[in-house]
Amino acid sequence: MPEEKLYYRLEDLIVIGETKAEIVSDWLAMDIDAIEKVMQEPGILQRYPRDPDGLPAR
Amino acid sequence: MRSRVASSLALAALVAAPLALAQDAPLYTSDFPPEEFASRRAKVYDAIGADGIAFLQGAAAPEGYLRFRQANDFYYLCGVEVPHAYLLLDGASRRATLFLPHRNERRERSEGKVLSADDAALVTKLSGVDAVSSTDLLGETLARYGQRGATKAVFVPLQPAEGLSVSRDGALRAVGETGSDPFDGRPSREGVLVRNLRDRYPWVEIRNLTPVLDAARLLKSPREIALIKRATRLACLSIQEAMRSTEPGIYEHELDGVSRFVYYRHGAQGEAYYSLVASGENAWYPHYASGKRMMKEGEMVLMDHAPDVGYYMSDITRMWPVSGRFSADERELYGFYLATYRAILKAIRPGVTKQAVMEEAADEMERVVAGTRFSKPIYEKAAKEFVKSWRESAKRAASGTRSGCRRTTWGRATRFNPGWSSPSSRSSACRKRSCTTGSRT
Repeated sequence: MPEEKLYYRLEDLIVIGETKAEIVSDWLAMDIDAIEKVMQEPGILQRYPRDPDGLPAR
Repeated sequence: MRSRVASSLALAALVAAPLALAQDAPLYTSDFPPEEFASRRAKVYDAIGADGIAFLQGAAAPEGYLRFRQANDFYYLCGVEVPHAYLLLDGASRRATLFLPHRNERRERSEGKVLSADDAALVTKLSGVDAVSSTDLLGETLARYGQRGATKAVFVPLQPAEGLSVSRDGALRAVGETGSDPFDGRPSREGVLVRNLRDRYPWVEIRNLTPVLDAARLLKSPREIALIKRATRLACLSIQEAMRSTEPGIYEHELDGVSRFVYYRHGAQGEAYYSLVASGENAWYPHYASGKRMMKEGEMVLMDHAPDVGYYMSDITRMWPVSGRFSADERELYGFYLATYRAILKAIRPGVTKQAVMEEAADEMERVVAGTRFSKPIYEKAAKEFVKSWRESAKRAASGTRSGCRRTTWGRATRFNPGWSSPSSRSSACRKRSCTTGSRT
């Protein structure tokens, strides 16, 4: 959507077998509720916080 | 002073136990047995015929402190990970000869053992190639084929080699960019090889091995699929961890760090491509990769990243709200896009052409649009235009075309992209093929 410069993209990995297609990356949250649920959990960055002297002044 | 003592101690150790292997590191891949490499070479013999030979140049040693990574096609045919190696496949005898440099003892003392021409018995045992020779004998070996007169053609991969984070597209682009630089203009490595062959053996016809290899690599074996699945798992784990780690005020490069942590601690040899972490308006640029921006409350972030796991890769993209909650507008827009994306996923199955997939997805997309109440006319307009252009691309989509073409963009809407390790097919029914699918609006 050029007016608001909005752009959406999703990509998944599918293995095509003899009788069916398997979406190997299906378990990675894609639905809105699933994403919001995952985001409530703390991540690596929260367990290992940024170092105050590590980043350049911007 | 210390280094002199250290080097004399090391020298003493070397003299005392010249046959002891000090390091405990595998010298050959355990991802594929020699038989699998041999069956791949068999396809090449079939393609080149009894009056052809195939000749491949392996990757050069990297500059600086980078680990060596073999070129994809070379690895595909023999699994050998030694810099400046060559592989010769004889179509008449159906034998594979590997040419390696001689042992560099000084280098080995510093970096550990590297397989060389002086390890012929070990190399044939590990890899299953039929013979091992040294690269200084390449010239006369090739000349002998001319003397016999039976060999009509040398098949060489003419497309540039793929490497670490270098896809076929990337390699081709680099050839163009170097050529455009008025104070550079170097020919590609493949171009230099071909020129060498033409200058030395002008009687031999040079033919392109790339289509043969592309066709062979198109269909994946169970072990290849297992590696692609491992790469996919790591890509998913890393993006999931990036989702958890996201909050307003973090920089795009912090998510890159998260992702690379997941890959490297699990033994990946690198990235399939640099991470694309695009927050806010940066997502508008499909391959924005600078990573320097701080992400803010109220925006979405797009992340597209995957590892290189033993030369096999994946390609996964997700988007999420920086704040952790989708706004009402984002729920509407992302939700619509997701519905169209799921329409494509649902249509992908064995035994259908690309065109049929697109048309079936277009039907479903039109149903979604008909059943959606958009909150803004601008959203409705964008949604309808997307579906319209998708429908038009579906009509234009060729079906049943030649296999072995690479990452293909059709319309401007979708890519079928079977990981970055191997070319994609624009074609029809595919079996045991791994592909990624994406669509854009």
